Amino acid sequence: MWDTKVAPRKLKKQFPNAVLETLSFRGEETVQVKREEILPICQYLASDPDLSFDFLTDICGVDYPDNEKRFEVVYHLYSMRRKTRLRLKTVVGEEESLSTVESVWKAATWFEREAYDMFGLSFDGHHDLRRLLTWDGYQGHPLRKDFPVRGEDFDRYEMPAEPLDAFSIMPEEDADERQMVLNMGPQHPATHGVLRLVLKLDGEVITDAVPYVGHLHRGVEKLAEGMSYTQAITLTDRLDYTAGICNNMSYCLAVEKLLDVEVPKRAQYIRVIMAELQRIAAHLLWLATHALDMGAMTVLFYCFRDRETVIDILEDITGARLTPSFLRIGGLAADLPEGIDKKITAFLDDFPRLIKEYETLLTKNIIWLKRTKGVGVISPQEAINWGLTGPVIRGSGVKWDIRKAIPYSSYDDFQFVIPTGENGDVYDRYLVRLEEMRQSARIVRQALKKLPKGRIRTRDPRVTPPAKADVEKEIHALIRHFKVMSEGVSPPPGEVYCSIENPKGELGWYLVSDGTSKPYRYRVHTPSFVNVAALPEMIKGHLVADVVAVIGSIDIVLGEIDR
Amino acid sequence: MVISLLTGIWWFIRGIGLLVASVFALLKGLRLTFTKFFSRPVTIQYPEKKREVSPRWRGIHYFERDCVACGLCVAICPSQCIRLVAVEQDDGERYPETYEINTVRCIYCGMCAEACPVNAIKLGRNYEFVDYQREALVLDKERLLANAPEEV
Repeated sequence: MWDTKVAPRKLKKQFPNAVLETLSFRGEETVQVKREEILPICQYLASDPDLSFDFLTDICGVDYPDNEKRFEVVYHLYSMRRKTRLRLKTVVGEEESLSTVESVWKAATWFEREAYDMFGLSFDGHHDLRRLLTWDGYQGHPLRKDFPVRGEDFDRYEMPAEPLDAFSIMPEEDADERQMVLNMGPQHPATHGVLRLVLKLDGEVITDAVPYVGHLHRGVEKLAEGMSYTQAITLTDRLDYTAGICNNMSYCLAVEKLLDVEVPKRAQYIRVIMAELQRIAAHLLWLATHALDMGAMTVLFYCFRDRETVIDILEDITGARLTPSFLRIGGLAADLPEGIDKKITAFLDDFPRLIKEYETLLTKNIIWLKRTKGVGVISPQEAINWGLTGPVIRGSGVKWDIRKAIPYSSYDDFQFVIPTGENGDVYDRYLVRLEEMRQSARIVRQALKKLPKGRIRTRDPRVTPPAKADVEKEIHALIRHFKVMSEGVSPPPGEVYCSIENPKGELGWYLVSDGTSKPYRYRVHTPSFVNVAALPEMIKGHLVADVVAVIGSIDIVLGEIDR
Repeated sequence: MVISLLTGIWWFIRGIGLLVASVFALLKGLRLTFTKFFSRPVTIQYPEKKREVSPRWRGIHYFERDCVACGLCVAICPSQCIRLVAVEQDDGERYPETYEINTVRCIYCGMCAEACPVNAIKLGRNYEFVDYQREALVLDKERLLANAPEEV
């Protein structure tokens, strides 16, 4: 393991005046730097061969209204080679601006737009600093602390003005008569939700594309700031609604890291079983819709038939089909029910035959090959620079999976391989996901076999309420039950970033605690958000029909893009 | 001239080849579909036949026993859909004067059942719960008690 302290040390040596402070909390390194020096520091971190922080995970703002300089901009960097993270922080006043890091990582483009939208931060030199999740002409910045949460708290009621960008989008100056602007979505069945794409066409060839997101923006990050840590679990199900358990898991892991709580082995294994089953379900849903988009309707029926089996299993465990809210901080809400292992094993035994059915229909089908090969290509270097995650980056040949890179929840106990593609096209991503399903089935089988006995929640009295039977008998237990249930958990002041490999890519939570029972900042880094940012790059030069193929292959869920 | 003719022929042959390959691919898929023709359907004819849900299913709420109006469910509810007015009798016993669950707001996470110290509020297995008026979807104490499943 590479020493995580090397990066802060080298940075301090290189920029003695710009580095203000270095902190270490829960094994994460934070470097506080001067606002003016952010660009040179980022350039140095990305280009230094020893550090090579080539991957930008996240940029977000945090609002501290009482501070002299109000905002904090937080950069999460990751080094593919060193497998370490680094957090850069800088403070910015309300009237100040800081330099964009777009030139270092293209992934910064959308993150900076989001920070501009949500906090009103401005980034010098950004090529396209527009609002992202709200519309052009919107008043106010929703994630500032003084922005009201409830509609009743507003001092005004306004009908949303017609957005300035509703119809005319592309700059008109250089439009010669061969070019045409085509609006695709938001009500388009193949955009998997409410994604609006504005395409600039030369004949049928796409020369430029601008995605508009935010139609489903509901302010999850803001809502969570008014909820306790336990209540906020329910918000996570509704981000990527095809993979509720995985979302629960990522958030719970982040809170557990903040609290420094160890989850019992049995709970970890059950989490893995459920997360991998959920991955299979999510990938089946993806395969169904992806194939349907391209005209292969039969696959839809087969995939939904088999997804039903997985969802039934998850329903037996959790009690809900789509929004489980089943994981709790420090463990699970309940143990596995009787006889569920037989059901799971029966499904796993049948699964290879089912995958074969899909493959019969697609893998060597000439129509499928013609539609997917060489479409939506993105090179490994570009994929890293764009900060892509999940099957999309693996389809480009980058062997990066958080389950292996930074193992969590006992993933290092299981044997599995990370499938990668070669060409980075739609077809390779398809193959990667199919193989991922097989590997998930393998992991579930191993976890079932090795499933240890024991508790399903940690013993930590701060986190776990006493057993219901004790509550009825003992006054101590009753008091503690009331305390845990009404107040929830109060982690110590600090900040953590914790991410997992969701079916769609890296899903991470950046949590800032101020010591109270509510998160001060609840930042969600979602995989679809970064993947859709690179969509224009992938579809340029292709035909309109290929847009559908590429959108399907990056597997977006608008619920987590818009949050 | 000759070259363009040759390329034309090449494209023609290629097109024929593609066509044959596509038809072959379609037939291969159709063969799979045809075998499914003789297997049992997996769908359920819904209103006539109903799906058995899991024993842990989180459906419509009910009261298993009398509520003691402690307010824990109100405190933990993430969607703030429970309204409780607690009253204390002369002998010191607490009971809820009003207890309403707005099932339209409710997200069926089951945290109220988890928090209840006396196991009064529970989430049942009924998932068919519709009405024409929203007011009718707000459950009060009496309806919650009536919702309790019959003992088997």
